[in-house]
Amino acid sequence: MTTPSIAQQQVTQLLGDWSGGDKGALEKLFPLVEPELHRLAHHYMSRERAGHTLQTTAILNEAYLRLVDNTKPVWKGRSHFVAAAAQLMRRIMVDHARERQSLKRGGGALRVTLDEAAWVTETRSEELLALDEALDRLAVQDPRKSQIVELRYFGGLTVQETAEFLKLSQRSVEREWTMAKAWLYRALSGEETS
Amino acid sequence: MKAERWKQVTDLFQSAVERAPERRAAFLDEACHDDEGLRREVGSLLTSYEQAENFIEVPAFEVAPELVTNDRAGALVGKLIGHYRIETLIGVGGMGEVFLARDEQLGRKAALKLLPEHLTADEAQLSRFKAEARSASALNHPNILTVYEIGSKGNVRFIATEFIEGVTLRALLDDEKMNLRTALEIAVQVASALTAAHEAGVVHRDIKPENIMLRPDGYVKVLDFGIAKLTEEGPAREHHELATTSGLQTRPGLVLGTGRYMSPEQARGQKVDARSDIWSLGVVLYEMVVGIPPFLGETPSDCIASILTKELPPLSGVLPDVPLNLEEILQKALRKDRDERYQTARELLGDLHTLKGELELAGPAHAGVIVRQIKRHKRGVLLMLAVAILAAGAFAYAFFFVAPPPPPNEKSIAVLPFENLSEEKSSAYFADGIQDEILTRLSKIADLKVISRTSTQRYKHTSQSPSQIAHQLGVANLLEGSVQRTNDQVRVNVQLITAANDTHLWAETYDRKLTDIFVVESDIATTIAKTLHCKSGSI
Repeated sequence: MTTPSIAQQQVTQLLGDWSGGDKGALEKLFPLVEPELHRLAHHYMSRERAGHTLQTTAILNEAYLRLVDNTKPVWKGRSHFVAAAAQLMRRIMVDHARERQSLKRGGGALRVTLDEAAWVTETRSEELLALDEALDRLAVQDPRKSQIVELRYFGGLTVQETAEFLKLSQRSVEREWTMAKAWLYRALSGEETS
Repeated sequence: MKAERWKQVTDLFQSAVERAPERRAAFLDEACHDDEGLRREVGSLLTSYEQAENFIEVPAFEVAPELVTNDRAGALVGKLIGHYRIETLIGVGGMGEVFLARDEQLGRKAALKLLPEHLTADEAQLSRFKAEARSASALNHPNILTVYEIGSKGNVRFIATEFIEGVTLRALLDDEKMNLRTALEIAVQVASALTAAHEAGVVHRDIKPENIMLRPDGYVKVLDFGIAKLTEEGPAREHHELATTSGLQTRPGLVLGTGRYMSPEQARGQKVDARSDIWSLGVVLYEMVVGIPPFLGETPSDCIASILTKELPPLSGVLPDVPLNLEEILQKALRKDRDERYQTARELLGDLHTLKGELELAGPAHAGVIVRQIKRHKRGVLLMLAVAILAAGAFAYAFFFVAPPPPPNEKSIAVLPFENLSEEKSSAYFADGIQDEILTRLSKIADLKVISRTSTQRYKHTSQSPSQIAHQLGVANLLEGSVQRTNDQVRVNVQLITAANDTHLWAETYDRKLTDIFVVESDIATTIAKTLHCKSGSI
């Protein structure tokens, strides 16, 4: 095993701090992780062109292996990393979606919208922003449901991984997910009653 | 919502979900008693639950990876627009983004340009553009980019054209000025495209180095015929000078590039005709020879002022040893008053031809010049594929420099091996078969000298220029072609080239059913006989 780089040591340290309850550690973690996520996303997108499917977990796994010092196994290091990365993923995507929306409003960007049901980039941006906002509202009402969605939707975690990370039963995660999904869907389709 | 109420809603929702769908309503009625608010809240969540299906089941990144990379063009890669599968972004311009795509119906490459919405909103303008682009493409001229289709998918308008592997003239010019002979060769080919287009009533309106592609085999292709129609002011504003000027200023960045090639009448916002293209080609030729365009300005308005008022800087002041005729050609192409300009592209083409001939008599040029020129330019390689092609094509550019061979018998031809563009390698025999068949038919013409297949086979993967090949085989003409076979469809592309001046006597693309191939072969042979003024019996 190779000697950990300074960055790896930093990431590992910050992850430890964050899981120990230091909220500020996450902010310091983001700039270290973001470029790697970016790079991996690019890489995976080009592989997708070659017929591979994109997998969020695979990307986060790879980022974890690259960024975290593996010489000293941290207790639950991976799941903490994924939880942090899920938040980061959400932030990156929302930022970019916002950027697109403002470009669109400003008319500065060339607007290409595709009708293809599978791919509506502009609509995706709008939807993502709406979802982000709804997720914040859900967090006020029920922080755990909001977190489950964040882990699964932005971090690509399976029910089982989510359960492990949150120390819940898989069944509980499934129940909460179902309700959160219904609630968010209603919020996005604008049929809320109260 | 208060915490207790939320818990109540959650619990009821969970219990309802666990019941069979048809029993949920009854369960809720029962459980909510007379609390209508609760009934509505849980009821609407249940409806959402039933409708949500796959909502957020696939992680965000897998649905919209472009929002992680923030790579908008990348989002389109792999997607299908019409029957074109987007492969990669190859260029971005004021008129839209250009992608390399694969036509899934015909199994061939295509360049797909997505037009910005603001340019295609006006239906009338769009249909004028379509009409022009179609008529230009219908000319089937070897120097005009073939348009396959102008279509739309949803609210996206696109133009699918033949895909050219090569570099834009802009890319070459960005590096340094060009060898005179190369400049003339390019100008001749562009003028030839303009001649054909103008005679068919199509004006380009936006001739500039960005719209001229150079293929590694020496062909020059003029792109985007008629597309400038999309940005043109309506006829009501013809005389409105400010309309054009202010229109330009709202698009900084685009202006300086294109404004320089505008004719005085375009700069004034007047109606343009074919003579406007002649002016623009004059500017391009000047830039190729001198290295910078003749009329410049710090701002768009300065540039326009320069176009309208500044005298053409004399070439002799900038370049020593410039042929007098070139100076005269430029002076005549760049007259501010269009009535004093060349009146037709054909006239200009004639003068360019003459000048080119004179230069060639003065002695052969050194082929290495342009090859090095191309290799040196770095950022200019527009098409990713071009990088590899350039190395291979380096020899092909020698095409521009080869001195004309001694004139052989005019009624002589070599049919070169047809290129197999089909997906399957196994279709190669098919391409050979077509070459063979055409050769056999031509051999039946008494007064036509036809080179045997054995002698032409060695040019199968050659990088030699047509004139080199013709010289070696001692013929005046060459037939080049390609064959593309997809299921029961076949596309045959042929070009009849006169080696003496490297011009096309005839070019045609046949898109037919496989079963009609004999008709195509016969038609090709007959047309060649006619074009070369031979007595064709029954071929």
